[in-house]
Amino acid sequence: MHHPVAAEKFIQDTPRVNWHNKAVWYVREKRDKAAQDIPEWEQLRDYASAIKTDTISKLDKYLIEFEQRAIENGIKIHWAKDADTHNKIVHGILDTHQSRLVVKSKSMLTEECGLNPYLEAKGIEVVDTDLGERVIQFAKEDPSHIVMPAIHKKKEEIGELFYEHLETEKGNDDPNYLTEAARHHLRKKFLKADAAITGVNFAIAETGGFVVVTNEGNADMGVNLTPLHIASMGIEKIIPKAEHLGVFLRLLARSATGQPITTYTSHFHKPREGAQLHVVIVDNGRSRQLGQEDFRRSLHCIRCGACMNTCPVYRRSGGHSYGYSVPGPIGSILSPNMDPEKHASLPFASTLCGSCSAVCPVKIDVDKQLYKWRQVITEKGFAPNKKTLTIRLGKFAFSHPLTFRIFGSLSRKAGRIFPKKLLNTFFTKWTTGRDLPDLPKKSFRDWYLKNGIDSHD
Amino acid sequence: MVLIPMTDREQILNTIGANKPEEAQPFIMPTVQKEKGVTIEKQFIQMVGHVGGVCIRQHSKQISDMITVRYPHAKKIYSCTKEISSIGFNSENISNPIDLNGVDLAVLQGCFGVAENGAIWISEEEMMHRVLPYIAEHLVILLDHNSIVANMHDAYEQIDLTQVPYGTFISGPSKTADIEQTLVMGAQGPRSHMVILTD
Ligand code: SF4
Repeated sequence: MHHPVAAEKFIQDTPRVNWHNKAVWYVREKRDKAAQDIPEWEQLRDYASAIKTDTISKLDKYLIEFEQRAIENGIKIHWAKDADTHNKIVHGILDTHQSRLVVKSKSMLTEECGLNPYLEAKGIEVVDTDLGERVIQFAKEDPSHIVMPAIHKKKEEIGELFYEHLETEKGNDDPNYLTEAARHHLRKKFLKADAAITGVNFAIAETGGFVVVTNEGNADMGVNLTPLHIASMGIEKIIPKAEHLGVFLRLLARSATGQPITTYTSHFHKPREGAQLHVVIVDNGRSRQLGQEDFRRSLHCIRCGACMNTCPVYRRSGGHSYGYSVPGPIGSILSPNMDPEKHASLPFASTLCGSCSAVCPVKIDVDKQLYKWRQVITEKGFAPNKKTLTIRLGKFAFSHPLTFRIFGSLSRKAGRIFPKKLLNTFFTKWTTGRDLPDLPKKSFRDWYLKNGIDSHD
Repeated sequence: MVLIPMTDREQILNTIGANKPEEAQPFIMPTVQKEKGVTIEKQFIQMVGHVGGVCIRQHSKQISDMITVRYPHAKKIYSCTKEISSIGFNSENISNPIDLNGVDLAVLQGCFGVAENGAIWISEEEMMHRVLPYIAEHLVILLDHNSIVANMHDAYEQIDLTQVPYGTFISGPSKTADIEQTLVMGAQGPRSHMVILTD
């Protein structure tokens, strides 16, 4: 999907864009406050980065260690090289257990793999149990944010969806009322379900177990009521030691929502008595990303969403405009690895302001990678045509001083003669939702030649 | 000779082996300096409030009376502590965890608390049933006031995960802000969360 085209739909409704911008920025501010409360915050980011650097440099060793310990713990381990294999494995396990109703907690990996539609096509009912995810499941949409999947939805719209699906009162959009309705609805599903699927936030090589975090308690409710727990994890979720959890858990929730920790931080090491626990380890392009020096640090990501909340483009274009399971700055450096042609426009959906890298708890150089992807994509010939053309024109003008001057003088004249509306069409997407500044009458060069260096004009 | 196709496991591990960068230094966890002058008990009490719970200090002998006063409507109380007895059903009769649906109040013994975030570590041993802390309408956790640590680094020094089949940090009641950022307690699990610090 072409980001500017997809974003155009979203930004047509200016009050909504402003509302979205504010809602997301509010979370960024909460993050700032939480980070400032920890004097050693920057130190923790350094530790987290160092742990991840070590991890990915011995990823195979740590995965094998994890597998071995997990098996000793009674966990069944599966490996999936891609999304399709992952879905087949999960379905195979469910099938063996004759599971018909599955309760699922939030997992971006299963979104990436398209697990829900796959299972549904096989006749299995999948209920997303995170409230935000249930909302978008009712709406038949994708999450627009990795931490707050329904951040783009207004409460009136959620009220309408619940009226339709849960028979709540028409027009009642009180969040307390709606949450209560969802609680009753989901509780029934939990009690009837015969399997549970979760993601994995951290898998510990040293101990052969893993950690899942939620605020609602929906992951634990599901897995602790049903006889079968399947957890899907990307290969990059590994951390070497249990003590490293101390570092990541101090960073994760604070970066994500400004909470000091999520409500529930659960550690799974052995299946419940009488139940089964399976872990599916998924590659799906990650080991390829590992081979690219410029981009491998994207595997440090702990999916906190902070880079989205701070991104001026994300806030004003919405998560759906990215057309990838992980939107925002981090999604724009992960998606080209999956398909550089399909996602060619995403690394350009950034101002390169660097705010993403400044907030990232594991110190990923997100903005630098965006910049590098632009070069790779342009070299491959996938860059949006207009961009390539303007860049070529620009290159020519900047390297030919006379052309540059003539072009400058012409554009200033044009700025005075033609209405801005007309000029804006030349700049298309950049001026959708904003305006060109007034063009000065004379160039800086003319001004400088006349006034010289001492002028205070 | 028959070529055996590589398994996904082999393929993944081989690609990682070929693509991984030069081995980095293993990370040696340094001692993280603690904030000076902070009394951890006070910080813990504050943080439990901050995350939506209530934290009070109570003599062990008075806990039972206090619970009756605070939860007058609780018909089914499932207690895993010696201070409180279960009410309303026989906990030994629970064979399927779904039978715990409808528990009004669960009372658990916490292992230790964490001052920086109000979280309390509870392992499977203290829960009886893994689903109990989530399925109950309200949750009370008893905690020895001497077992509070400063931060998550200290917390992991207390736990040997190889010995805990299942364990969780709980910080406040179940909550969500998925509807227009409005914080709502009791999203799926307990609607309220009380921590009683005991002597
Ligand atoms: S890139 Fe960094 S800030 Fe963005 S989601 Fe990942 S960890 Fe969070």
